[in-house]
Amino acid sequence: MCERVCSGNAITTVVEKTEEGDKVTRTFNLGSCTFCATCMDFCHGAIEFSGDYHMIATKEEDLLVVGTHFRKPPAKKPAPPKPAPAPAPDAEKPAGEAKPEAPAEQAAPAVQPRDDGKPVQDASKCVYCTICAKKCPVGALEVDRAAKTWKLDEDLCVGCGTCAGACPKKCIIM
Amino acid sequence: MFKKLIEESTGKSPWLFHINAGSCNGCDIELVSVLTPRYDAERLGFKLAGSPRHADIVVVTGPVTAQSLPRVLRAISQVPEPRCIVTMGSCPQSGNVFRGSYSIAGPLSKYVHVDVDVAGCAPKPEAVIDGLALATQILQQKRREMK
Repeated sequence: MCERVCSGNAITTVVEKTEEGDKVTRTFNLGSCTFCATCMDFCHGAIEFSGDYHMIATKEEDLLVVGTHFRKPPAKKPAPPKPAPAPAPDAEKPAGEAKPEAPAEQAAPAVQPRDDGKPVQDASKCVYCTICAKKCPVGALEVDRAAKTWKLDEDLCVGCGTCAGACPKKCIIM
Repeated sequence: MFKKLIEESTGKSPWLFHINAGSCNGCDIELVSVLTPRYDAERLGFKLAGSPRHADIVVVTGPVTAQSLPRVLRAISQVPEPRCIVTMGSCPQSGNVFRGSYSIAGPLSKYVHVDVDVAGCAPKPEAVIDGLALATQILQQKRREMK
């Protein structure tokens, strides 16, 4: 989440698979940071500002701050028992949605949020009620109840989250 | 005798040239506050030069827009060696919030060697003075190496 809200793209995440779970390494590039603290607001207590403003470097690497944590396996275990939604995103693919995400999602069955903060539809839950398309302030969503398609115009979408809030089935993931 | 005088005096009074490469003005204002009496870097000898030909240290602010890039490079090339290039703020180092824009040619380190990065958005005047002090040391070192 912190990575997605970062306005300066200062945060990068690398995930390595280990026995203890996923080793998540986040790198904060202070040379790209606006110090807006939005990441801190969205992260529940794991990101803190040191208050040290003497950030002088002669090499770019000196401005990187790295933190590591382990994502525990129990969080992943509930995921495998429901592979059922996996075919569903495939079914939705012809609708022209979630192009880059779909291959990555095959490992984790639940629909993953996108990197750019735009909505993703969980096709297994969606009833194609078109409420999201009606609520969308910029008209970026196109939902066809009969054809069961859910289409996002990525150029129009501003990532406001109105569709996710309006969805009665909570099938839109931001 | 003159050489010794030059060496001592330039070490004590490096002149700055400030280039705004599309900055939002935040860093520019901070740089002015560094030089004016509140933080008063001038008491340490730093002086804002009006021409790149008079300068020892170049301070670049802003994300280096495509429009400004040739001008920035020309201004930097006019600064006599040894020179020290200081980037001020996050923008010239990475593009910051402007990264990915069609009009941004940065980061600056793609085009010239950057000696000191002062991070912050905008950096605090204390940090800028720190960076300039480090730049002075690098400058003196470069001057010794040139001989």
